[in-house]
Amino acid sequence: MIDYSPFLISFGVAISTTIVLGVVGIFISYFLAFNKSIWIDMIEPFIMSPLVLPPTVLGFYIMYMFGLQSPFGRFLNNIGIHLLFNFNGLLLGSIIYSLPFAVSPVVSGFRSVPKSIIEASYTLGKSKFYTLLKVIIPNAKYSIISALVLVFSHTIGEFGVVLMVGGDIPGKTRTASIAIFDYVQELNYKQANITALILFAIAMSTLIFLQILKRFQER
Amino acid sequence: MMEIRIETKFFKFEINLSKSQILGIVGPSGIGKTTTLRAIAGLEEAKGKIVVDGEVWLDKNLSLAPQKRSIGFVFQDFALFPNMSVLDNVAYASSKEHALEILKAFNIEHLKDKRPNKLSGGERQRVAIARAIARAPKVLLMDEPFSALDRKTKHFIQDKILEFSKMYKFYTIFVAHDLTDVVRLSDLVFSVEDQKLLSKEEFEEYSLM
Amino acid sequence: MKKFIVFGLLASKIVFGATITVAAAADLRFVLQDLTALYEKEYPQDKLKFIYGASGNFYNQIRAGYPIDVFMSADTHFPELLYKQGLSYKPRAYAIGKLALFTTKNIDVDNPKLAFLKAQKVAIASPRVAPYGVAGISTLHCYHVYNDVKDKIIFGENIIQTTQFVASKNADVGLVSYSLILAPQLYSKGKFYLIPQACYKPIVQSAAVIKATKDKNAAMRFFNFLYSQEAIAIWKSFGYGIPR
Repeated sequence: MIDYSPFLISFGVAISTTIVLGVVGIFISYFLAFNKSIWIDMIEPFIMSPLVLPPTVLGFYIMYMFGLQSPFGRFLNNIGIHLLFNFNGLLLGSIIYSLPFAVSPVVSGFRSVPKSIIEASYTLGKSKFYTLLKVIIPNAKYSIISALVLVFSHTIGEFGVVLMVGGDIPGKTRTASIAIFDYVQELNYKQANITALILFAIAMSTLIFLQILKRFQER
Repeated sequence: MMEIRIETKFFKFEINLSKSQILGIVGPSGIGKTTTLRAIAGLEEAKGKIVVDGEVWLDKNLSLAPQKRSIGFVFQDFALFPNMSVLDNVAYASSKEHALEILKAFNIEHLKDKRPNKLSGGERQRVAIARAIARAPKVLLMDEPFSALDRKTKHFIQDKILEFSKMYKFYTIFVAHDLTDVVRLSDLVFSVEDQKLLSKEEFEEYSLM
Repeated sequence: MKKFIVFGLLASKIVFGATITVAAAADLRFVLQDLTALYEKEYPQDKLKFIYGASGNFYNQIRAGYPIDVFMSADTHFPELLYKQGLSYKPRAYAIGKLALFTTKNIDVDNPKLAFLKAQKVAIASPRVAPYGVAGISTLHCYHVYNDVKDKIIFGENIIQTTQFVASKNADVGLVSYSLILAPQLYSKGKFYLIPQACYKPIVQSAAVIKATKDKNAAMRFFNFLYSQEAIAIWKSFGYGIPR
């Protein structure tokens, strides 16, 4: 009897993270790509930092900041906001962890949009927001899709952060990646293999999808 | 009336234009003509004063963003939106009906559903001009707008611009290399090298040299 | 009449039954399977959920607000800390863990000192988060081989992972929880030698009910069960000592 809850949890987190980062990522990328101030040089490394931090360290900091040992965590708890050891915690951890993947390709994509067509839109009387929607995003379409696919697959495979911030609660925060680890620990190699194969298949399909996308882009 | 008194990092530029007047700016490459045109559009920083029909676009305290200036700008690289058809490009700041009218007038209605990447340079340039005019702006700014057109098409388009300029009563300022373009279309010519406005006789003589 | 009884039982399950979440030290993975079977016979209205891991990690998570009902640590130190901080009720020792030298290779473990020296890799649980790791390091000192062995150690994040290093032959020998290798899955896989108690401080394993539990009655039900006569029999069968 296969337990499907790890897959449902992993998918739920990955899809939610992708949606949130899709929107947030575009706004952050817009800010980074089109802002000329020096502060960008400070902010961009920050946003990229989850890439260099070990996931367990990241998970620990998140747990510490939002947990009951910190004043901030206690405050959130008092106003009824619980961000650890539940789905929200997984979402929070994944958003921070996958943020660089949502931002980096999109910033590149935005920066590649020819400056003259952005200016053309302004000279035709359209606002910055309208220009973002009708000119910039459509012309950075492939970068945005790449970013979303990367965020999705990166989140599915996430382990260290979700373990700390989620707490591996069966049926609630035990994602597929953690479940594999647990199956191995209880010497249930069969279940571990099945789960791993499915995850691998998902990862491969997203990468193949990206390849096909690249072909379209070159056309 | 349009009053321009601006200074870019390249040169000072002062002129007064009346409605439907066409000004051509000539000079060698790199001298800063495009920068001046962009400054009038609000795409570059400049010091000075620009007042159009009593509306202040630029002065000591204020510099309106390009979106807030009633302009139509034709870019040197055409800057057509690759993700839209010709019709959608021209209708971007106008209506589809009006866009069709302009396309018809320019004899490029047959291109309306094509994407810019499927057009020749000359076709793209005409679309770019159509898009700028479709907006019925107060000021039409054009950067080398005839560079990709053959002589016959060029004259045709120039005549159309003249027509629209009289009909919509906009001010036109354009930059050109080719003196014959300048001579044929302009009421006034500003020579950057000479840093002055040339009279009609002066520039006709000029072009014969 | 039958319908009423069935309804009554179902109702009692809904009204009086609970899901009890237990954070348990990794070494308890197999013994808890047997204990669960027994518990659920006695209290069919309850459902037990286990999360296995290193006691130190659980301590951090509980402080952050980990929503569990009972904490079964591999030591007494962590539950006592929680109790002092007002996060749990009074802890109580449920078992005394034993350390064993384990190998799945052809190494003579009856002579531990030699085995340590011969081995190329020795698996020990991380002493920072796993009490069995502390006992492991202590044992190495006990046999006076620590300096020779310390560069050959691979640390497991918890005692199960440590045992797996040995089971998968990635480590030649390992200092693991005796109860784990008594489990059928591992018992026949290799040879073991029970390390004399004198070599390490007794691994007194304590449990505590977490104050933030959503159902104190249910949590207490399970907690008290751990010290019952039936439970003691199972602890013994897995090689644990029984605290007085």
